[in-house]
Amino acid sequence: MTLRTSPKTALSNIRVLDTTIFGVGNMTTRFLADHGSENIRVESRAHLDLIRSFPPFLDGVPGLNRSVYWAEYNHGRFGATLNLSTPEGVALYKRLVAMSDIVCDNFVCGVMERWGLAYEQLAEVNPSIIMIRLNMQGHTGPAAPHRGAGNTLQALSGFNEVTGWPDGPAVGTGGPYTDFCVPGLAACALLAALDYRTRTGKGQYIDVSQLESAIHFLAPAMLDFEMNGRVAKRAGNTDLEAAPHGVFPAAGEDRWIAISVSNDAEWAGLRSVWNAPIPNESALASSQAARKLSAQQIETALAEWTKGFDAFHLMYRLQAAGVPAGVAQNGADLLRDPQLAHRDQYVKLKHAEIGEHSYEGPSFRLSETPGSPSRAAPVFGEHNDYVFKTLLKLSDEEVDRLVVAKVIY
Amino acid sequence: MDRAAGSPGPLQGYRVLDLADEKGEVCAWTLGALGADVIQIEPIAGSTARHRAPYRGDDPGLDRSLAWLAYNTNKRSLALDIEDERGRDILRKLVSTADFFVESFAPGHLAKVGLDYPALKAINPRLIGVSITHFGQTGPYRGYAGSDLVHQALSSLIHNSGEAERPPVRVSIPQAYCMAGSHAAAGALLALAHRHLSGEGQHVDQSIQHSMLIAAHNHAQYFEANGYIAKRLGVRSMSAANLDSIVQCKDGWIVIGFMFAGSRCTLQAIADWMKTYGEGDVVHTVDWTKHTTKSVERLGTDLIDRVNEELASFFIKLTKKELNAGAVERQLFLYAASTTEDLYGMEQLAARNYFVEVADHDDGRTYRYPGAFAILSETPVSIAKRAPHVGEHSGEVLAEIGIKGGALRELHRAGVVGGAL
Repeated sequence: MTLRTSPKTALSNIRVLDTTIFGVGNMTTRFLADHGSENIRVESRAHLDLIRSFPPFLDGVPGLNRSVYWAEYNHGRFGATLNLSTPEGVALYKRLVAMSDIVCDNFVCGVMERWGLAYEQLAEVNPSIIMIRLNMQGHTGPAAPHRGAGNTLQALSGFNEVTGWPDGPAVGTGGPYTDFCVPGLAACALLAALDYRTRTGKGQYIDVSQLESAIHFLAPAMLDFEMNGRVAKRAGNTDLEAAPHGVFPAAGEDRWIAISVSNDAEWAGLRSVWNAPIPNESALASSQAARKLSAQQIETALAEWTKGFDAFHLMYRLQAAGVPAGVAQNGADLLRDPQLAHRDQYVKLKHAEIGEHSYEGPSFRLSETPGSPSRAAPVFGEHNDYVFKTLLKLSDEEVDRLVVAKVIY
Repeated sequence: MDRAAGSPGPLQGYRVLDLADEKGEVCAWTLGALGADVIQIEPIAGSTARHRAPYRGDDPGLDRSLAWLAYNTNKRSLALDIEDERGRDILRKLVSTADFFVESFAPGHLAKVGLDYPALKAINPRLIGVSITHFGQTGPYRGYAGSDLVHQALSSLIHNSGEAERPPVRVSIPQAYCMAGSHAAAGALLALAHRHLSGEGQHVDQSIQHSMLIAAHNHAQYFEANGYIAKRLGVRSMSAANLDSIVQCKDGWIVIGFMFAGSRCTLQAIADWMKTYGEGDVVHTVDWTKHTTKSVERLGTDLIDRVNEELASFFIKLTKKELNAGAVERQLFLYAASTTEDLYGMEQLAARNYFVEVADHDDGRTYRYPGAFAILSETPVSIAKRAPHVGEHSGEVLAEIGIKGGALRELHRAGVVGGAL
């Protein structure tokens, strides 16, 4: 068996079946794929991952294998096509389960059950399997069947009500934000279960409700209701204590810089760079409370100043003076960010159809086994030979028959 | 699947020494929720993490910061002065009993006092060290100052968040430290996996800036592939064909995921729902199931404007509860925007016993905290004990390494150890 094993990776001899769609499941097991596990992405034209049809596409031309969006969530995987809505597909899948350590599923509630692939059935073929399932609101309870995605779950879990302007709509963030909150905590649950199994041989079933997980990112606001009876509201870019604190205009089209001052030292730093006279200078210099009271006036004056400067130039000057300041970066900026480059955030890998393009690395670095995207995302069925012939030892004729029968499909 | 209530978590038996402040508290909190024994080691005067608004009763106090309470459950507290050599000595003794050492000091600080990872590894080669800093241990931004807003900005999260004619806007509740802590814990557990293979620990360098990149939503890849920069779209955020995806309802807001060809057609399902109320006019003149996003765009803005108006005047008549219930029944990609109050009243969360009653807040009652972030069938996640008082467990922890009686009282008198003996 050709598993990815190497003393240079944190994980060795771990096989993961990624029976996933959209983002959350893939971003969760990506923590493992970046660190040495062998992940097999199981997909099919019969139950296609919608994200394969999401832009951006290479050269703006759509295609099953041309979505850069899909590629980013699915790097580090081998790709196999297997139609789980067929009995033969299910049988082959179970054979893969027998030789795997982890199954990850984030289909809508009931789908795996309909295919005969619930945890109980997988545990029959592999008693020590770890199955992690992540769906919107968990696999039990009245709302379990409620379909959704990160943009709508962002709203349900409370983020829309606390993102935006007090006099404006509950806009939320510009992306499926809860998709990004959940993977870290879910990966921890998965890795902890894996550790438990390493020590005891016992697998288990992990039910992750994305809602229940994402709420932790709002926990202080939750306690604000429970303990203070106060409902958290949209607050623009203000902060309860820091002032000035906001996103200020910089020179150029749609360019902004975030600046936050929380103490006298940071204020002194800001004033050493932005030294136009302002009223009440001495009162403001030694009192965060005074700055908070005058926040609006300070911020209006500050914006008048910042708008004359390049955002990056301003960030460097303010940071040199000890002021927390950061450009509101866009996609182009990220690719040029020198700190991210220093940490190898963007790694170029060769995708069979898209060619060479950037994949994202892990946000932490392990000193002995650093971790990094191991391979480009697979094109559809790219590793069918490996999975069906090498791993499952099917003959060429058998595989041909299964292709015709739309089992390998 | 029922929770295996009362069973220990998967990390039972492991010990974490947590010297992190607000920048890194969520790392050890995650490991503690998974069953590890977490000892918070904080200055005699208490961690700076205890000084963040909002507070219980809007009344600042060492045990009243809501973020402190939320993200330090299950931890024991040892108040220790590690600027004093006697304090460092105690720390080294604890290191020899620990599996994880988590900290968030500025890069280089611990090296100056002989407590950086190489020094600690020499004491305990199996120790896994986790450092959580704004930008990482090395690199051009190593010395930069950070804050939640700065990280939300640098990550590109805010650039396309908000309304088109207004500045980029952040999530009003701090996000970055929670993100970094959860990632750091994953890094720590990967190091643990490797320790089973190698017999030794290693160091995890977590950057807070870097952790927020997960929320960049492919912005870099969009630009690299098509030269495209995502824009702030307000109520048309993540929508299709100029349909308003964020809409007012009777008592708040809802968000709709409009899908066309290749999936259940949201707009047709909504139109069918409107029909049962006798609502809608223009929206019923099109068979939306025959359309793709592009073909809907080609129908023209006048038509779509009318459709938006009709949807708006339907949704404004219904409550969040009614809309959520209808969405489940009709399998619609539609969710109401919850307030924190709504979440506490949510039937789904009650059905799953999500909230945990945490006791012992010095007023004789319990408070409902967010509960397990995952349900493990054999070894459950458990969030049970309230965040500790400063040095609440000093005596208990030090007794475990043989420091008690007169020696302990002397250290307390000298200000090396604080809290309860």
